[in-house]
This record gives sequence, structure tokens and C-alpha cells, in this order.
Amino acid sequence: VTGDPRADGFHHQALLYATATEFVASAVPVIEGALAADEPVLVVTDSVKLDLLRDHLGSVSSGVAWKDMRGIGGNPARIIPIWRRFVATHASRGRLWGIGEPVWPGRTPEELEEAQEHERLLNVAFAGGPPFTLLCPYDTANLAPAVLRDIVRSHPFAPGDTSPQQGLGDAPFPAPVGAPLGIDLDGDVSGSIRAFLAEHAPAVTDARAADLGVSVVAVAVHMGRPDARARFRLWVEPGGVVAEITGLVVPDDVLVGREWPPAREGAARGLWLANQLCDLVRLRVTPAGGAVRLHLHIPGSGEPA
Amino acid sequence: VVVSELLSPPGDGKEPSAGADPLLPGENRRGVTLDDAEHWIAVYEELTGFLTAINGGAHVGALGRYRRRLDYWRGQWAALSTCPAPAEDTAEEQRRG
Repeated sequence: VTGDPRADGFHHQALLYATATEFVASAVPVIEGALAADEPVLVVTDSVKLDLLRDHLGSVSSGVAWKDMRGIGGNPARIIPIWRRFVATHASRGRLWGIGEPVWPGRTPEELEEAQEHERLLNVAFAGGPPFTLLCPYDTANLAPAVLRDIVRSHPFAPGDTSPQQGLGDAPFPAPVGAPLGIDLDGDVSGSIRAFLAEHAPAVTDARAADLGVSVVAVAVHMGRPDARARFRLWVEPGGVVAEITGLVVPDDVLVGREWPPAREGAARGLWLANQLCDLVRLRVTPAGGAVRLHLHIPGSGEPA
Repeated sequence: VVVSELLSPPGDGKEPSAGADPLLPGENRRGVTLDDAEHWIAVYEELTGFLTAINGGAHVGALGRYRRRLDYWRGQWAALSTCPAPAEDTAEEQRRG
């Protein structure tokens, strides 16, 4: 951890650890210092580390807010709204402190890509805001070297190369796996999704199929172009289901769909709704227009999509 | 003691009306706080508002589920507003449909 964590504004740092002992040794003093200064603390990591920290902090742990990252942060686009609520609620209480671990071993390549994008977007989301120190733990023993190398590009106070990295926005999606099914967005979208999944991914429940249907419609309604029809196709990948909507209007806002409170209109609202319902949401902008991929995990499968 | 246990004492064999509904990603049944309740109220208000606005008859099942979960979280919020809230939030018993 480098830099002055009490500097003004947003201070976004990596917290590197190789063992649980190292994690606790780094995090506990930060939390204890914040509590001693009566400054708010929110910790968002996995339940094992939450329990470790609570055990070490003892009775003072009741002064800390805790959230399980594996649930709410499975889709990284849901994380910034959590921090926004924390900042909005406590902005008058001096410096705010957060420990958030959005990147963990076992995430799929797609999730890692989006989690790293999330890390970069944090710098945009909280620039110019109240004093807020956010420490992001990274498991150096179990994360791939390429993932660890990316830390310095998203954390301004990490040592090494801090040159800006191009975001994901205009990088094309890879080709779908298998043969996608094209579905008419003017028809019974949810019925078509249910029928397709009953045949190709029967472990996905009707409720999750319905959530995917609502997400597709939300994106199409709020991001559709007035002069052209969006296109929708659906396929199954190892571990998950992917719904892709293309030919969309995407505003020039890298934080679209990650606001709190949610936007009332437009693309931001469509993406926000999809972010709440899906296990992963990915957005790209190509010369042909915006493209969104919505992912659902298949219960009981191995690697999620 | 977590508040949800106060609301549904172990062994009483009953759950809130939305207890059997699948949860959304990140939604918990136990160890919730007032902040969680406010968060999920906002989520379900947005979802029900969207489906109502588009007159989404094809999504009637989802709309009913979202409304039940909205009612559930409003009940949680009311209960948490009148008793001490635990500062914890675990993904225990997280269950998705």
C-alpha cells in the first residue's frame, strides 16, 4: 500500500496479500484507525474474510458495515452503486473508508475483465468527491500474473506503470459459442427464452429465465434506436446462458447503468435494471452500434458464463 | 442475533409471504440491515415500476414475484426501523431460483 491514505479526495489503493494473516495484518489497523477517529468504514469482501476481520476486531466490529462481495459484486457493475450509497449516506462524517475486493481467484475471464474495468471506473465515479479512501485487496498468491499487472493501471497509488489503459468500451465481443438462436424482440421474448432454455439449459429455473426476459426487454426498450430495430440472439456456453442485444444507442458515459439512485430514463435505466437481474452484464460500442451481453449462470454447472 | 431471526423465529415453520420466492443475485435472507432493506426496496420498486410502465403482460409471473419481494422488504424495513440492526450482511442461505 503506497501513498497518503489521508490525502484529500478519492484515494484508491491496492492492498496486496498472499495469506489470510497478511490480509488481516493490513486491514485491521486501517479499520481500527478509522473507528478511533469516528470515521465510517464499509468492508466488502468474501464471507470468510469478513468473519476473520470481525474475529480480530472483537466488539468494535459492530461499528463497521459489512457486505458480502461474492453476492452483490458477482456482477461488478453492481458495486459502484454500493459505494455511492455509502458515500452519500456518510459524506458529512469526515473521511470515509472502504475495503473492497472485486477481483478474486476463480472469477471467469469475462468476470475478471469486467471487474478490472470496474476498478478503473471507480476513479471516474469518485473523482472530485468527499474524502474517501478505498483499499482493494488482491490475493497475490492465487491471482494470475496478468491480473496483478493490471492493478497499477487502475489504482493511481500503486507502484509501477500508471499510464492510462484503454477501457473495454470499444473492444469487440468474441464470437458466440455454438449456434445462437435469433429471437424477434417484437414477439414473446420471455416465452421464447423459456422454450430455448428448457431444451438447452434445463437447470435454469423459470424464474431466472423470466429475469433474463425482463432484462432483455429493459435493454431493448431503453436503448433501442428509433430508426432501426435491435437484434436479439441467445445461446448456451459452458456454465451459462448468454443473451446478446445489438444495434443499440449507448450514451457517452462510461458509468452508464452504475448510478445511484438509478436513472429514470434512457439507456442508463435499461442497463441498471439488467444489472440487478443478471449475473454479468457487458457493454460494448462498435461502429454498428451498441451491444450488450447478459449472462446467467447455470446452477450446478462448472464454470459460469 | 440477526433481525431476520427475530422476525421469523426458528422453528415456527412460517416464512413471510415472499419467503419461497427465488432471490436476485446478492439478495440475502439473513443478517440484513436497514441499508440492505432500503437497497432492495429501491431495486424492486424499479423493477415493478418498469414492468407496470410497459404494461408487460408477458411478464406477469415476474411482476408478481417482484411485488411480493417488494412487500417483503418493506416489512423488513419497518421491523428494522424499530429494533437495533446488526452490522452484518452475509450471503448465508442465499438461494437463487
